[in-house]
Amino acid sequence: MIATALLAVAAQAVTPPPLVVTVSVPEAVRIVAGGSARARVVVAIEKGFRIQANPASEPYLVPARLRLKQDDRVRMGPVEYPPGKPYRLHGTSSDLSVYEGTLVVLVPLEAPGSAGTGTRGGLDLVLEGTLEYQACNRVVCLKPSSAPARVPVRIEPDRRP
Amino acid sequence: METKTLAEGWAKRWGFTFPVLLDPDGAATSSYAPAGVLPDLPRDQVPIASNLIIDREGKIRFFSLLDSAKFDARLVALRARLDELLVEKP
Repeated sequence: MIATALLAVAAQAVTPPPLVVTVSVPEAVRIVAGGSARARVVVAIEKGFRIQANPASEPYLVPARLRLKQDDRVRMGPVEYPPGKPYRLHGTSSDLSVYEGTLVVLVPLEAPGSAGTGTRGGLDLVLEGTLEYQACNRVVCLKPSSAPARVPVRIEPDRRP
Repeated sequence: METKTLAEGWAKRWGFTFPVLLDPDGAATSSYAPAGVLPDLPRDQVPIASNLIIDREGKIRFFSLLDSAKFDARLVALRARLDELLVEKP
């Protein structure tokens, strides 16, 4: 008889989805040792596409999520995401929460008082990670994907007397 | 994308009563991407979030894309096509 099938595509799929999201940090985050700052991570979404916000409006949707590798030289707080914009599919009774265009994600950072003290000019490091997302446009949803993220951080010695 | 464990959990959570195919390399998914539909997209991406009816011979008898502007939330078109196909003689 007629059958409907759900096709679950697994991670090993050979073809990566088109890149529709880029992540950048316009300038290095400067932190004085013993102090804190917030990194501004800019997420640019290709025109015509949208990604699910964080938090996503439904538990089965894939929210945008920035994951940075821990670095012993700096402490990271919970990533702060902007509110999503409501987006309603025709014929449905509730809104999705999505991001479109460009958004800024904030990463609270804190440098221990001892950080960078061994170097005269300070300490430069890069927090590496990815932004996970699922993108859709008017006619298609792409596989969940991720874009590389690099957050340059400069820790300066505390020169206060 | 989904592991077997994740897919099993999902099927249980939502009470799926139909078989779920794991497609590790995307080959099955690609084979159900109709030729000419979204030609610029990798073939294993096309069926994601689309609706298909596949007959007993494995032929696609219905295919619709997401189409958010005219989203068919209640699958009216798919149900209508299914009703047509069900009265066809084998």
